[in-house]
Amino acid sequence: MFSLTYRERIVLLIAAGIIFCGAIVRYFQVNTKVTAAATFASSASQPAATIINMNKASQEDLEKIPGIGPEISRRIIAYRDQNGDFQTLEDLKKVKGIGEKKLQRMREYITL
Amino acid sequence: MFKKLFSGTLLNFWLFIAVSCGIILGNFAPSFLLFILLSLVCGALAYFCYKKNRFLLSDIFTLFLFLFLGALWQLPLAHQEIEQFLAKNNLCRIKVTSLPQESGLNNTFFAQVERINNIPLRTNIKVIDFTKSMDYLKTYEVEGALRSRQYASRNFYFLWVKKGTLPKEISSPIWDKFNRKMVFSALSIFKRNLSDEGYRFIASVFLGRRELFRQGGRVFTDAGIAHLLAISGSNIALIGAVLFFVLKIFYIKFRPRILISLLFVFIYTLITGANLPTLRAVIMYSVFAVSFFLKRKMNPFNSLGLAGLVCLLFNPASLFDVGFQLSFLSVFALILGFMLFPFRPGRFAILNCAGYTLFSSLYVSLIILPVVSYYFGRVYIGGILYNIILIPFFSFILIVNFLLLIFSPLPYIAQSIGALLSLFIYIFDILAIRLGALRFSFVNYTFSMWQVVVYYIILAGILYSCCRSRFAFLR
Repeated sequence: MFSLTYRERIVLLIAAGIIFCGAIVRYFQVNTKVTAAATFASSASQPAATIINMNKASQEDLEKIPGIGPEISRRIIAYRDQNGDFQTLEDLKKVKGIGEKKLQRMREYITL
Repeated sequence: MFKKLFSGTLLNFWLFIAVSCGIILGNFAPSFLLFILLSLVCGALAYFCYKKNRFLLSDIFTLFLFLFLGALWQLPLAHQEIEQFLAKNNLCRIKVTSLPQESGLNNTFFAQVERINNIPLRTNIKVIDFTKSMDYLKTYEVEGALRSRQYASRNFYFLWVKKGTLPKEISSPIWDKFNRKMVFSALSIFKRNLSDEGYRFIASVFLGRRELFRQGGRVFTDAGIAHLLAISGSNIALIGAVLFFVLKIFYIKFRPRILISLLFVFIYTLITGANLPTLRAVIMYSVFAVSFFLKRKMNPFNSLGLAGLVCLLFNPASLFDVGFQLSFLSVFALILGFMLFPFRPGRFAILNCAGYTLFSSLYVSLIILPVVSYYFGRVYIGGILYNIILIPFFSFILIVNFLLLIFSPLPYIAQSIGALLSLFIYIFDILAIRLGALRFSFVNYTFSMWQVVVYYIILAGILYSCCRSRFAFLR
């Protein structure tokens, strides 16, 4: 089929052997990293440190939320001063500039 | 072994097919021990068959050996799916691969993920960066939330980087620093000498900075000529050929010319991000250049196979990338077409050339049609004709652009070339808009996987029955 000489077959076999060994090393390397990273992953996914209380946060803290800039954070604080604390997350939509989409995006970073 | 690259046999091509099948197998049936066992068995059988002078069987078992090696090579990646990291905070190591574009409160750019929570994972994502602090070709460790969105049967992944977090910059290798400098120098030359539209167009087609030409690119997609905007083999071939002939003007000898053009093409590939179609083109150009250098005959199928093997060894998951599939399929179609239907100049050379180009465009479009339809949901009809009109024009634009770069140290000449280039780009854009607006430029239809398979079986049958005698090169 390919009319390979003996030497060419040996070279092909050596190349196959290198790929074989490399694939095994790579497989165990990745799996070891997966096991070691498992505990890291569970601790990294803790969102507790980054959850912001919408009723107590300062303007600076509010600006850390994705989608909230200086203007909207000022409006949130102004709303709180005028109407008191937010009772539910849906109350946030009463602030100008926060719609359904923005609220969906903010949900995992906020609490009341 | 080395000679086989340049001889009539198709070793590299069949090895590429075998490894590709193995990668698909490894992705859908991840079984580590089974593939190790099968690889060892096939290797032993290949050797024993050779000893018994059963050469055909030995070759077949060699192919199966490489098939199972492909599966083994894919296995580590088969286990790692980005879906397991969705909808929660992760520590991601990313390399910014496009120029950040400002969009209100955030910057958006494309990045290559290297690790998520220290797990190696190679995938491309779009980053929405609220910190606005990340820059092109730098590597960062960032904390953010991964999300996905489905469009036309494909998943696209996004990383939301929160405002309060500070991305930690990882020191870049010296090559990335050089790359940044080259790209920004070229962009400043284009910006200085071209109109705004021309600058965005050339930045996209010459440097691969498609993020600068997002809005304008839709016109070309509708006309079915979006492939012209991507850096691909035609760019590499044109740049290599232009440089080769420019060096001839300076009386540089044949072999040094080949080496210099090859070196320049390598540097250009790395500057533009070394995407899969470009990598494929560079490897094929290298084989072509080396065959010239050694004055040996080159087999294009073998060089295509070698390019495929190298790409898959670097990243086996690239087999599932649409750019990889379309690039290799197009070149395969072109090579197959040239072999089955060789060009005969005849009496009216220019007319015959135009006719042959149209015919080539037709059968390449026929071969890539189901894949384009499967991924993009469209069947492009007008593109067959538009290619013949626009490709020569486009090649001319690239050549003039190359001259602009060469003469950039001379301001007046560079500005004149820049004005001319801006005019050509404007005409090209108008042509693309007019052609894309024509009726039946494309039809909305999505092939299913089974339809794709049936289509190729039927096409292969038709080609084989029509050109049976010309398929001798496959033996």
